[in-house]
Amino acid sequence: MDIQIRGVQKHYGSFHALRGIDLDIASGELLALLGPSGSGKTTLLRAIAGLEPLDGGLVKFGDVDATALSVQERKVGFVFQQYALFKHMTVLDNIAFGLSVRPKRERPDAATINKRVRELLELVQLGGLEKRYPAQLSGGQKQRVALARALAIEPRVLLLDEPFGALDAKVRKDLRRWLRQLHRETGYTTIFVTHDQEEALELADRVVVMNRGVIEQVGTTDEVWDAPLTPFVYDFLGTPNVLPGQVAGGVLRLSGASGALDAAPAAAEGTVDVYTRPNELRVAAADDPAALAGKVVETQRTGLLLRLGVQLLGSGAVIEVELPHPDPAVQRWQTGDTIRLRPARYRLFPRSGLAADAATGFDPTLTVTEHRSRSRS
Amino acid sequence: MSLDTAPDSPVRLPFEPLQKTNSVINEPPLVRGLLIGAALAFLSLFLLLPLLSVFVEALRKGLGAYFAAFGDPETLEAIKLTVIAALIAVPLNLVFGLSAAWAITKFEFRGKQFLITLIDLPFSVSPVVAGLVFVLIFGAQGWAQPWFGENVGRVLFSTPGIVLATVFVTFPFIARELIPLMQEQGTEDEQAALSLGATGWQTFTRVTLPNIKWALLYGVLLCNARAMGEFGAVSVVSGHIRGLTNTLPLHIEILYNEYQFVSAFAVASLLALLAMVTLALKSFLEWRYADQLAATRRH
Repeated sequence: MDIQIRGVQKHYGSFHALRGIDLDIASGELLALLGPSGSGKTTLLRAIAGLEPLDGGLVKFGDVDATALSVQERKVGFVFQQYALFKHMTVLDNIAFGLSVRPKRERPDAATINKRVRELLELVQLGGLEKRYPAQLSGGQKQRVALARALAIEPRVLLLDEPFGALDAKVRKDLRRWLRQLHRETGYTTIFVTHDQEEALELADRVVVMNRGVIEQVGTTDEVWDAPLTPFVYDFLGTPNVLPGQVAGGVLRLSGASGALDAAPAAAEGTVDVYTRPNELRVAAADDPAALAGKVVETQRTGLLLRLGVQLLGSGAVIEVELPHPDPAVQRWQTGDTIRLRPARYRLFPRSGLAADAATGFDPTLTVTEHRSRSRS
Repeated sequence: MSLDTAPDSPVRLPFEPLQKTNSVINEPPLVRGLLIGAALAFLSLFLLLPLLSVFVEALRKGLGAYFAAFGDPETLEAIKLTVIAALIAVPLNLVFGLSAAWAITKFEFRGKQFLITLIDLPFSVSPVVAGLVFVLIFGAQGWAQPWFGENVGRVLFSTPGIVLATVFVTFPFIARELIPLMQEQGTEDEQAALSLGATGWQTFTRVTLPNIKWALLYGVLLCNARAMGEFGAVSVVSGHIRGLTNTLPLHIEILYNEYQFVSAFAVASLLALLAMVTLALKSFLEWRYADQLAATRRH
């Protein structure tokens, strides 16, 4: 089932949780909603499920306007962050719940329900645990019961809220791989929410990066990683260095460097921020006029990588550099060494983004959940 | 893929653990003995002894006199009235308490804190005041009486008044029992049920109710015990008309004031038995359904 989201708006009191979201989700796609807390990703997921009434906009499942449908009618499989398993029911009854509450005419008979539940238990690799109560299961097992329960109703779309948030690292890795495989086997359109970029990049076909109620970028894993559209996406995926620079007369010059680094589009004229990741910096020749001079203040060797902290001579800022270090025989950089660096890959953003933050009155310490409960009491 | 086992569920050991108590936090035997002794002495003096004396006094003149006390038609009427009042008050408060707890814990609205305070009101005012309120409303000079007396019937000094007073006094029991539990449980289970296609009623009966049934049952037991034992508020609105508006506690007082000690204590033993049955029932249920209780985390 493909999903279209158009101009979706949501407020919690004075907090604007979703500011006009447009998104198309293809049938059978595995999509990640990625963002920090307060970005509106869970709100968007709940809006798709119908658990959050909207202030404006449209959600369409195929040709059907889902905004006019109730939660029940939407037939979404929603997996809650804390699983929300029915504690007083066995695993079997939990999974059978969605089928057993159907009106009499549509309800399969007991034998069919039983058979379906057993198939699902096999699918989520929990065969033999059907008589257990949720309290007798581990976190990973609960997660899979919740998934089986959601799949039992043959949902139009599978929605997962922070599916691995409550699990420890090892289980998380296993489940991730397993979920990917399950998605391949079942082909359900799946949307999951996460704040973990690694999880999003590893699992999803496409990633939606959200921030403060807007979509910053939608793209494949490669696209969001290699070509971040906004400083926020750059910041959120990895830890870039931000170097101030100037664009004048169609050329870019880093602040503190004597020569021009590169040609730059005329549109970027003025003061700019040059975003470059630690691994995109290269050691430059001594006579390279575009390079920045600095002093190594910190070195750390991890496997084949050498991480340097470099204090720039011009601004005094410390930037992070990652250099390959394949040959132990080669003399490596030491603290106190003078080094010259130039970015091999970078992206320019006009210097304006930061000033906007202060104006919106955004309080990053308040999560959306808090806004949600505050606005109601 | 190895995703199985490693449950964090309690593992049943095939043997008893060697030490049941942690010696680090244990007190020396003397202190332990003193503390336990003090607690036992206090309980015996203030709970066990009075309870025992009720039965001793009731049986002072033998079983014959004990049972003869229940043959008195006025006593039978008092029992009947008490049961009627409880039979009306408890179901009413079951519905009120459940609705109030539901509204308070599952929805957000203005004035919620006020409602919570209001529910506690019967706990905080003296029952006598509660009774007087009804006298002021339905008494001879009460503002509701002219209309009520003509169109509905007598309220004060009759069964409706007693039921009203009982409902008022026992109002918080069920709601108070449910609110903390339902608050802790939140609304995710309900949302999950709805997303799986359940109707509102199915969600309530199959998800919400099972989650709270133990607290609900406990609340009902307590509410019932109080409904049958309430004295102050009922005393004010009853009028003490023998064989008509006397509930068990009121009847006991009358018997006692008339120096019919055996009868008074015999009837009192009935209320004491009710209390003990209530507690026994609660303990039995907790024991019988320990697994489920543990699963739904309560009491």
